[in-house]
Amino acid sequence: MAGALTRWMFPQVAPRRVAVLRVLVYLFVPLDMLLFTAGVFQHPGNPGGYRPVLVARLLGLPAPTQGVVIAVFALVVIACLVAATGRLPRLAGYAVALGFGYWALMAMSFGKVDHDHLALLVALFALPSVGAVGERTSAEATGWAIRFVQIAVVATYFLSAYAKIRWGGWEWPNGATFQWAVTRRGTFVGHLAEQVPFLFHLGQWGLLIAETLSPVLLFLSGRALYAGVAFFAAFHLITWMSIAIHFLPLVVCLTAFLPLERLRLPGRLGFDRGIRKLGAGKAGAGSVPLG
Amino acid sequence: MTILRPRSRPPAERGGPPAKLTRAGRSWRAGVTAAVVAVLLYGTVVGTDDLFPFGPMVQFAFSVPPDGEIRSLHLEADTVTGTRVEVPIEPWSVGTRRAEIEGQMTRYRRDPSMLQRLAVAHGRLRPAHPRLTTLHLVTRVIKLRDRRPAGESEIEEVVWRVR
Repeated sequence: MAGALTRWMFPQVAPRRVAVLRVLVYLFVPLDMLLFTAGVFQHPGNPGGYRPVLVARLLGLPAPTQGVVIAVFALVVIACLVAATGRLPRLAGYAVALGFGYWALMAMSFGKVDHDHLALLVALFALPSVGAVGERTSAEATGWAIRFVQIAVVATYFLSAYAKIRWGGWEWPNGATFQWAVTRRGTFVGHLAEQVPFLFHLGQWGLLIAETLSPVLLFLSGRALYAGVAFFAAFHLITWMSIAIHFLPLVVCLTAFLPLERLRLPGRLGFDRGIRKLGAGKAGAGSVPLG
Repeated sequence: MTILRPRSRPPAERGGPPAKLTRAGRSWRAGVTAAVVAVLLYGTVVGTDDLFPFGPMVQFAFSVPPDGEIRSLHLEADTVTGTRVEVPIEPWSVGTRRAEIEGQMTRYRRDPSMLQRLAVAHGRLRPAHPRLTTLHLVTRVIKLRDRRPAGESEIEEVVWRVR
């Protein structure tokens, strides 16, 4: 039993997967700050609205001033660009984790908290622990980092099913929450969808069931796993098309379930540094598929 | 990006076999995982948004009764040109998100001058638009019947004459 749990928490994963995931994650973080948590740039002008969340209070983090915001933004962007190329994976990686962690706390301390950043934050803290990716990188250390990200992704889905029932009660799947979302922020596609009888009612049941079953992703492999990942990716795409909510920080982490080690990255930009000498054959032969 | 086909044989190894995790290396990793999962479970079962990032995943975690109503907050404004326009409550428009105002509605009701900041931000972010003279924070109420919209009304929440 303990052996099975250990094998599950420390699966043998090709280190190259972490190298590729780093590129995706570290290039995504600056975009996140510019597009999705860009509200932070406006926060210094609204000191009265600052309501720091618990972690920010415990750490005694200073309120966002113009100087703090610019400094954190610059630090994170520079560290991201360094880490994305595989250089200084620990130093640059933890700098991104701490810097973006502070950024996210500032973003969520003005009366509105988003729930799509958990997996990204976990990824930022887990990925540096693998260190440099090379011939001698431990497949178990890689496996844990990937597994931790996967757990955070699944937790986001599963725990949101729990929250729906905790707050919405069993009325949730039979209520009008989807209609509420489309009425408040529906796109053209969303308003088309609202014309279809029973679609939202069925969709609510489908979503609740899928989120409840999401932990199976942690135990599937091969085609069944990819089908599950495709399902959630499609769910996010449809949500984005109909109510313009994208959950991209979570989607980026959803790729941790895929054999990213088989992707070849543009070498000219240096993103394949430390990966190049690890051919996919080595990665494939030296590890078993996750799941 | 292209997909690499796994080669039939691995290239010769350099620098010895891959390192294995030590007992300590496994222990701290297992401990961190367990701790994060435990805090998440705590946050989900009894926590609030205050526990970010370990709080409950409350996006759309509320139910709307099939014959209930849908309320949404809108910002309407009179402009110097004498027209009344709807101003999106978005960071690129007024420097704040709708949900941030909704989350602090009682404060806005008590202190309408908090709206001044929105007008100032709008002047800075949308300089080409006519200046706003009076802001109206309005709740739009849509009545549902069998989960579908069946009627609409408005409630004026806060009015602020821009200084």
